[in-house]
Amino acid sequence: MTKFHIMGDNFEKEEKWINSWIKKGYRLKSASSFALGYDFTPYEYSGEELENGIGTVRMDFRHFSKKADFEEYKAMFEDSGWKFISKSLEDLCFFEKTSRDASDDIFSDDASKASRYKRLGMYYLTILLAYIPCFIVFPPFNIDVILHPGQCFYTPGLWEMTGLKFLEAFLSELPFAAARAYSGLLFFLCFLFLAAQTAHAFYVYKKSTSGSQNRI
Amino acid sequence: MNLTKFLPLTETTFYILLALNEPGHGYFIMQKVEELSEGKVRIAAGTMYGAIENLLSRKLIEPFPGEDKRRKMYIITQLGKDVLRMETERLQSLLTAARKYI
Repeated sequence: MTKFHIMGDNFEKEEKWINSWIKKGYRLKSASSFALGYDFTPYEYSGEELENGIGTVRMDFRHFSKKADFEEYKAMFEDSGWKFISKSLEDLCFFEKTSRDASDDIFSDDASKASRYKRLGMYYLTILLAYIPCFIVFPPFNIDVILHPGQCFYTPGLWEMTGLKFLEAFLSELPFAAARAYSGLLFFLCFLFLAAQTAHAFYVYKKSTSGSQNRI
Repeated sequence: MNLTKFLPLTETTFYILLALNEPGHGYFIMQKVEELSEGKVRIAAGTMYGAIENLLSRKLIEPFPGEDKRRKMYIITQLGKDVLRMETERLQSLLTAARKYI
């Protein structure tokens, strides 16, 4: 049974949402590639299991360049009572508590818990930086063109045509004209969105760790 | 090399370095730290993996040959031992001074 949920940028809220379904008698089977769809299966946990937090789901965000490192990572969780469920977005990992003796969370101090946001910020930053050279190919946008997209139709004599002939010519050129007028703008909006996500991730990280920096 | 840049160590780091005076893999370290701290310090898997990465990059621990490909082993380096000793001495001085009043 698939449930959709927009992840937003808060790990804690996401975990809370997923775990609210666990309490209602579901188990997380997998998360889709873009962290939008979650696949839950109905599952009856015993009262004792629920009390011990069995089935609790926690998330980590981490990039692995070598498969061997990822295997080592999963083994550490397995050994300490946390089963790997699935990966989403390449770097987002979901774990499920399977042992009564396991800790309540996969992080035991605030600093390491907050570091997820730092890694998320780095992920967004890498993509953001890749966009910059692309601005040479897609110059941001031209206000005049956006307000008067008509000039993006290159069919000679298009606006003098009438009736069916006009419709035919107009519709066949429409996708190309739209791309000419708006792709630069669209690209720029994506860039802004990524920049906002990057800034937000680093902001949350800084905010979470400033507390520990106040050690006197 | 000036080792004071590594100090003070967090409790987690201190115990991990202590535990790695003998070779061990991630979960082994988690268990040993809990034992050494008499149950007071329990390191979770996510924290452990990050700590190992960090200590490796700072060369306070190094890989140790092992047979299990999924459970890589580590051991403290000479640098790690020196840092641990400096920290222990620092804590010792603090304790000696504190005993006069507490």
